[in-house]
Amino acid sequence: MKWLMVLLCCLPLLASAQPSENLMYSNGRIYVVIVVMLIILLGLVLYLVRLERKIKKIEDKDQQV
Amino acid sequence: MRKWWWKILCVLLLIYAVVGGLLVKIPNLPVLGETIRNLFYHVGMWAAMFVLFTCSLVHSIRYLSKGNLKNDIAASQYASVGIVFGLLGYATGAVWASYTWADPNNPAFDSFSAVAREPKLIGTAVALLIYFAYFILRSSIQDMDQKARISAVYNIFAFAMLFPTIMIVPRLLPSLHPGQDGNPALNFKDASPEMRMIEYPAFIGWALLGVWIATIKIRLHYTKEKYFIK
Repeated sequence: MKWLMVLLCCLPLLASAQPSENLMYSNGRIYVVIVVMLIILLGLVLYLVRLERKIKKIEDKDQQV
Repeated sequence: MRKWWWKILCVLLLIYAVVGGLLVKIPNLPVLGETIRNLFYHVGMWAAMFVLFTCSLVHSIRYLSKGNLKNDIAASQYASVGIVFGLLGYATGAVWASYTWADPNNPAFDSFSAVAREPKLIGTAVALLIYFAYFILRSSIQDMDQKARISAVYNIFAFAMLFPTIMIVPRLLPSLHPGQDGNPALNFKDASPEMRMIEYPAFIGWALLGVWIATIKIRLHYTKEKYFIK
Protein backbone atom coordinates (compact mmCIF):
# COMPACT_ATOMS: atom_id res chain seq x y z
CA MET A 1 0.00 0.00 0.00
CA LYS A 2 2.83 2.38 0.88
CA TRP A 3 4.40 1.87 -2.56
CA LEU A 4 1.09 2.46 -4.25
CA MET A 5 0.75 5.80 -2.48
CA VAL A 6 4.27 6.81 -3.56
CA LEU A 7 3.42 5.81 -7.13
CA LEU A 8 0.21 7.83 -7.06
CA CYS A 9 2.07 10.88 -5.74
CA CYS A 10 4.49 10.60 -8.67
CA LEU A 11 1.73 10.62 -11.30
CA PRO A 12 1.46 14.45 -11.62
CA LEU A 13 5.09 14.44 -12.80
CA LEU A 14 3.93 12.71 -15.97
CA ALA A 15 1.35 15.42 -16.61
CA SER A 16 3.69 18.40 -16.31
CA ALA A 17 4.66 18.53 -19.98
CA GLN A 18 4.62 21.23 -22.61
CA PRO A 19 2.52 20.57 -25.73
CA SER A 20 5.35 21.35 -28.16
CA GLU A 21 7.61 18.52 -29.31
CA ASN A 22 6.72 16.23 -26.46
CA LEU A 23 6.47 12.49 -27.06
CA MET A 24 3.22 12.30 -25.11
CA TYR A 25 1.55 14.82 -27.44
CA SER A 26 2.69 13.26 -30.73
CA ASN A 27 0.74 10.85 -32.93
CA GLY A 28 -2.68 12.03 -31.79
CA ARG A 29 -1.68 11.46 -28.14
CA ILE A 30 -1.73 7.67 -28.50
CA TYR A 31 1.11 7.46 -25.98
CA VAL A 32 -1.26 8.68 -23.28
CA VAL A 33 -3.39 5.60 -23.94
CA ILE A 34 -0.30 3.40 -23.82
CA VAL A 35 0.73 4.82 -20.45
CA VAL A 36 -2.79 4.34 -19.07
CA MET A 37 -2.86 0.74 -20.26
CA LEU A 38 0.60 0.07 -18.86
CA ILE A 39 -0.41 1.47 -15.45
CA ILE A 40 -3.46 -0.80 -15.39
CA LEU A 41 -1.38 -3.80 -16.47
CA LEU A 42 1.37 -3.18 -13.94
CA GLY A 43 -1.21 -2.54 -11.22
CA LEU A 44 -2.80 -5.91 -11.90
CA VAL A 45 0.59 -7.63 -11.99
CA LEU A 46 1.64 -6.06 -8.67
CA TYR A 47 -1.67 -7.22 -7.23
CA LEU A 48 -0.96 -10.77 -8.42
CA VAL A 49 2.54 -10.67 -6.90
CA ARG A 50 1.08 -9.48 -3.60
CA LEU A 51 -1.49 -12.27 -3.63
CA GLU A 52 1.24 -14.77 -4.32
CA ARG A 53 3.33 -13.52 -1.39
CA LYS A 54 0.32 -13.78 0.90
CA ILE A 55 -0.34 -17.37 -0.17
CA LYS A 56 3.35 -18.18 0.26
CA LYS A 57 3.11 -16.95 3.86
CA ILE A 58 0.02 -19.09 4.48
CA GLU A 59 1.73 -22.12 2.93
CA ASP A 60 4.81 -21.66 5.10
CA LYS A 61 2.71 -21.29 8.24
CA ASP A 62 0.73 -24.33 7.21
CA GLN A 63 3.83 -26.47 6.89
CA GLN A 64 5.08 -25.52 10.36
CA VAL A 65 1.88 -26.70 11.98
CA MET B 1 9.57 -17.38 -5.42
CA ARG B 2 9.97 -20.70 -7.17
CA LYS B 3 10.28 -20.79 -10.94
CA TRP B 4 9.43 -17.14 -11.41
CA TRP B 5 11.14 -16.55 -14.76
CA TRP B 6 7.99 -17.19 -16.80
CA LYS B 7 6.07 -14.63 -14.78
CA ILE B 8 8.62 -11.99 -15.77
CA LEU B 9 8.37 -13.23 -19.36
CA CYS B 10 4.58 -12.89 -19.12
CA VAL B 11 4.83 -9.26 -17.94
CA LEU B 12 7.40 -8.40 -20.62
CA LEU B 13 5.28 -9.98 -23.38
CA LEU B 14 2.17 -8.12 -22.21
CA ILE B 15 4.03 -4.80 -22.07
CA TYR B 16 5.25 -5.56 -25.61
CA ALA B 17 1.68 -6.37 -26.64
CA VAL B 18 0.33 -3.07 -25.28
CA VAL B 19 3.09 -0.80 -26.62
CA GLY B 20 3.62 -2.66 -29.90
CA GLY B 21 -0.06 -3.35 -30.42
CA LEU B 22 -0.94 0.33 -30.31
CA LEU B 23 2.05 1.57 -32.29
CA VAL B 24 2.38 -1.08 -35.04
CA LYS B 25 1.56 0.05 -38.56
CA ILE B 26 -1.65 -1.66 -39.59
CA PRO B 27 -2.99 -2.31 -43.08
CA ASN B 28 -5.85 -0.03 -44.09
CA LEU B 29 -8.89 -2.30 -43.89
CA PRO B 30 -12.51 -1.51 -44.75
CA VAL B 31 -15.07 -1.61 -41.90
CA LEU B 32 -12.40 -2.37 -39.28
CA GLY B 33 -10.01 0.59 -39.52
CA GLU B 34 -7.95 1.01 -36.35
CA THR B 35 -10.10 -1.51 -34.48
CA ILE B 36 -8.05 -4.35 -36.03
CA ARG B 37 -5.66 -3.71 -33.13
CA ASN B 38 -8.20 -5.55 -31.01
CA LEU B 39 -6.72 -8.69 -32.56
CA PHE B 40 -3.97 -8.56 -29.92
CA TYR B 41 -6.40 -8.23 -27.01
CA HIS B 42 -9.79 -9.73 -27.95
CA VAL B 43 -8.37 -12.79 -29.72
CA GLY B 44 -5.73 -13.02 -26.99
CA MET B 45 -8.51 -13.72 -24.48
CA TRP B 46 -9.63 -16.72 -26.55
CA ALA B 47 -6.06 -17.96 -26.95
CA ALA B 48 -5.62 -17.83 -23.18
CA MET B 49 -8.95 -19.62 -22.72
CA PHE B 50 -7.86 -22.45 -25.01
CA VAL B 51 -4.57 -22.87 -23.15
CA LEU B 52 -6.33 -22.90 -19.77
CA PHE B 53 -8.95 -25.43 -20.86
CA THR B 54 -6.16 -27.61 -22.27
CA CYS B 55 -4.33 -27.48 -18.91
CA SER B 56 -7.61 -28.40 -17.24
CA LEU B 57 -7.98 -31.40 -19.55
CA VAL B 58 -4.43 -32.59 -18.85
CA HIS B 59 -5.05 -32.44 -15.09
CA SER B 60 -8.35 -34.29 -15.45
CA ILE B 61 -6.65 -37.10 -17.38
CA ARG B 62 -3.88 -37.23 -14.79
CA TYR B 63 -6.48 -37.44 -12.04
CA LEU B 64 -8.16 -40.36 -13.76
CA SER B 65 -4.86 -42.22 -14.19
CA LYS B 66 -3.33 -41.49 -10.78
CA GLY B 67 -6.26 -40.63 -8.52
CA ASN B 68 -4.53 -37.70 -6.85
CA LEU B 69 -7.09 -35.13 -5.68
CA LYS B 70 -4.53 -32.38 -6.18
CA ASN B 71 -5.01 -32.84 -9.93
CA ASP B 72 -8.76 -32.45 -9.45
CA ILE B 73 -8.29 -29.08 -7.73
CA ALA B 74 -5.95 -28.00 -10.53
CA ALA B 75 -8.39 -29.09 -13.25
CA SER B 76 -11.31 -27.19 -11.71
CA GLN B 77 -9.29 -24.02 -11.10
CA TYR B 78 -7.83 -23.97 -14.62
CA ALA B 79 -11.36 -24.35 -15.98
CA SER B 80 -12.71 -21.52 -13.83
CA VAL B 81 -9.99 -19.09 -14.93
CA GLY B 82 -10.59 -20.26 -18.51
CA ILE B 83 -14.26 -19.32 -18.18
CA VAL B 84 -13.28 -15.87 -16.90
CA PHE B 85 -11.09 -15.34 -19.96
CA GLY B 86 -13.87 -16.63 -22.20
CA LEU B 87 -16.33 -14.14 -20.72
CA LEU B 88 -13.79 -11.35 -21.18
CA GLY B 89 -13.44 -12.43 -24.81
CA TYR B 90 -17.20 -12.32 -25.20
CA ALA B 91 -17.49 -8.88 -23.61
CA THR B 92 -14.68 -7.38 -25.70
CA GLY B 93 -16.13 -8.97 -28.82
CA ALA B 94 -19.51 -7.40 -28.09
CA VAL B 95 -17.95 -3.94 -27.90
CA TRP B 96 -15.88 -4.54 -31.03
CA ALA B 97 -18.85 -5.81 -33.03
CA SER B 98 -21.09 -2.88 -32.07
CA TYR B 99 -18.73 -0.46 -33.78
CA THR B 100 -17.93 -2.58 -36.84
CA TRP B 101 -20.34 -5.34 -37.93
CA ALA B 102 -23.42 -4.12 -36.09
CA ASP B 103 -22.73 -0.43 -36.59
CA PRO B 104 -25.98 1.15 -37.87
CA ASN B 105 -23.90 3.68 -39.83
CA ASN B 106 -22.19 0.89 -41.71
CA PRO B 107 -23.94 0.06 -45.00
CA ALA B 108 -21.81 -3.02 -45.75
CA PHE B 109 -23.79 -5.38 -43.53
CA ASP B 110 -27.43 -5.59 -42.71
CA SER B 111 -26.50 -4.69 -39.18
CA PHE B 112 -27.76 -6.67 -36.23
CA SER B 113 -29.26 -9.62 -38.10
CA ALA B 114 -25.85 -10.45 -39.57
CA VAL B 115 -24.31 -10.52 -36.11
CA ALA B 116 -27.18 -12.47 -34.58
CA ARG B 117 -26.67 -15.19 -37.19
CA GLU B 118 -22.94 -15.28 -36.57
CA PRO B 119 -22.13 -18.98 -35.92
CA LYS B 120 -18.98 -18.25 -33.93
CA LEU B 121 -21.03 -16.31 -31.38
CA ILE B 122 -23.45 -19.16 -30.90
CA GLY B 123 -20.67 -21.75 -30.92
CA THR B 124 -18.68 -20.04 -28.20
CA ALA B 125 -21.84 -19.56 -26.15
CA VAL B 126 -22.48 -23.31 -26.36
CA ALA B 127 -18.87 -24.10 -25.44
CA LEU B 128 -18.96 -21.77 -22.42
CA LEU B 129 -22.31 -23.20 -21.29
CA ILE B 130 -20.81 -26.69 -21.44
CA TYR B 131 -18.08 -25.49 -19.09
CA PHE B 132 -20.65 -23.81 -16.81
CA ALA B 133 -22.30 -27.21 -16.56
CA TYR B 134 -18.95 -28.63 -15.40
CA PHE B 135 -19.17 -26.46 -12.29
CA ILE B 136 -22.84 -27.20 -11.75
CA LEU B 137 -21.98 -30.89 -11.91
CA ARG B 138 -19.12 -30.44 -9.45
CA SER B 139 -21.19 -28.56 -6.91
CA SER B 140 -24.02 -31.07 -7.06
CA ILE B 141 -21.99 -34.05 -5.84
CA GLN B 142 -21.13 -34.30 -2.14
CA ASP B 143 -18.65 -37.15 -2.10
CA MET B 144 -15.16 -35.88 -2.92
CA ASP B 145 -13.80 -38.85 -4.87
CA GLN B 146 -17.00 -39.32 -6.80
CA LYS B 147 -17.15 -35.62 -7.60
CA ALA B 148 -13.56 -35.68 -8.83
CA ARG B 149 -13.99 -38.76 -11.01
CA ILE B 150 -17.31 -37.84 -12.61
CA SER B 151 -16.29 -34.24 -13.25
CA ALA B 152 -12.94 -35.36 -14.72
CA VAL B 153 -14.76 -37.56 -17.23
CA TYR B 154 -17.20 -34.75 -17.98
CA ASN B 155 -14.28 -32.35 -18.46
CA ILE B 156 -12.86 -34.58 -21.19
CA PHE B 157 -16.22 -34.52 -22.99
CA ALA B 158 -16.42 -30.75 -22.55
CA PHE B 159 -13.01 -30.33 -24.12
CA ALA B 160 -14.02 -32.62 -26.97
CA MET B 161 -16.91 -30.24 -27.70
CA LEU B 162 -14.73 -27.12 -27.48
CA PHE B 163 -13.06 -27.39 -30.88
CA PRO B 164 -16.12 -28.42 -32.90
CA THR B 165 -18.24 -25.61 -31.42
CA ILE B 166 -15.67 -22.82 -31.66
CA MET B 167 -13.38 -23.81 -34.49
CA ILE B 168 -14.99 -26.32 -36.84
CA VAL B 169 -18.72 -25.58 -37.10
CA PRO B 170 -18.36 -21.76 -37.46
CA ARG B 171 -15.94 -22.41 -40.32
CA LEU B 172 -18.42 -24.59 -42.19
CA LEU B 173 -21.12 -21.91 -42.06
CA PRO B 174 -21.02 -18.38 -43.47
CA SER B 175 -19.38 -16.29 -40.79
CA LEU B 176 -18.21 -12.73 -40.31
CA HIS B 177 -15.09 -13.85 -38.51
CA PRO B 178 -11.94 -14.17 -40.61
CA GLY B 179 -10.23 -17.47 -41.36
CA GLN B 180 -12.97 -18.97 -43.51
CA ASP B 181 -10.85 -20.27 -46.35
CA GLY B 182 -8.55 -23.17 -45.70
CA ASN B 183 -6.47 -23.64 -42.62
CA PRO B 184 -5.99 -20.39 -40.69
CA ALA B 185 -2.89 -21.73 -38.94
CA LEU B 186 -1.16 -22.13 -42.30
CA ASN B 187 -2.66 -19.09 -44.01
CA PHE B 188 -0.22 -16.24 -43.72
CA LYS B 189 -2.31 -13.80 -45.72
CA ASP B 190 -4.91 -13.20 -42.98
CA ALA B 191 -2.73 -10.72 -41.13
CA SER B 192 0.25 -8.64 -42.15
CA PRO B 193 3.67 -9.93 -41.00
CA GLU B 194 4.12 -6.89 -38.74
CA MET B 195 0.89 -7.78 -36.96
CA ARG B 196 1.92 -11.42 -36.62
CA MET B 197 5.05 -10.20 -34.83
CA ILE B 198 2.82 -8.70 -32.12
CA GLU B 199 0.01 -11.26 -32.29
CA TYR B 200 1.85 -14.42 -31.25
CA PRO B 201 3.87 -12.87 -28.37
CA ALA B 202 0.65 -11.22 -27.16
CA PHE B 203 -1.17 -14.58 -27.20
CA ILE B 204 1.63 -16.23 -25.24
CA GLY B 205 1.60 -13.34 -22.77
CA TRP B 206 -2.15 -13.57 -22.14
CA ALA B 207 -1.96 -17.34 -21.81
CA LEU B 208 0.86 -17.06 -19.27
CA LEU B 209 -1.15 -14.47 -17.31
CA GLY B 210 -4.07 -16.89 -17.17
CA VAL B 211 -1.84 -19.73 -16.02
CA TRP B 212 -0.33 -17.43 -13.37
CA ILE B 213 -3.75 -16.54 -11.94
CA ALA B 214 -4.74 -20.21 -12.05
CA THR B 215 -1.62 -21.35 -10.15
CA ILE B 216 -2.38 -18.83 -7.40
CA LYS B 217 -5.94 -20.13 -7.13
CA ILE B 218 -4.75 -23.74 -7.13
CA ARG B 219 -2.28 -23.11 -4.29
CA LEU B 220 -4.98 -21.33 -2.29
CA HIS B 221 -7.48 -24.15 -2.71
CA TYR B 222 -4.86 -26.79 -2.05
CA THR B 223 -3.86 -25.24 1.29
CA LYS B 224 -7.54 -24.83 2.14
CA GLU B 225 -8.47 -28.44 1.42
CA LYS B 226 -5.19 -30.12 2.28
CA TYR B 227 -6.54 -31.85 5.39
CA PHE B 228 -9.58 -33.21 3.62
CA ILE B 229 -7.85 -34.75 0.66
CA LYS B 230 -5.24 -36.80 2.49
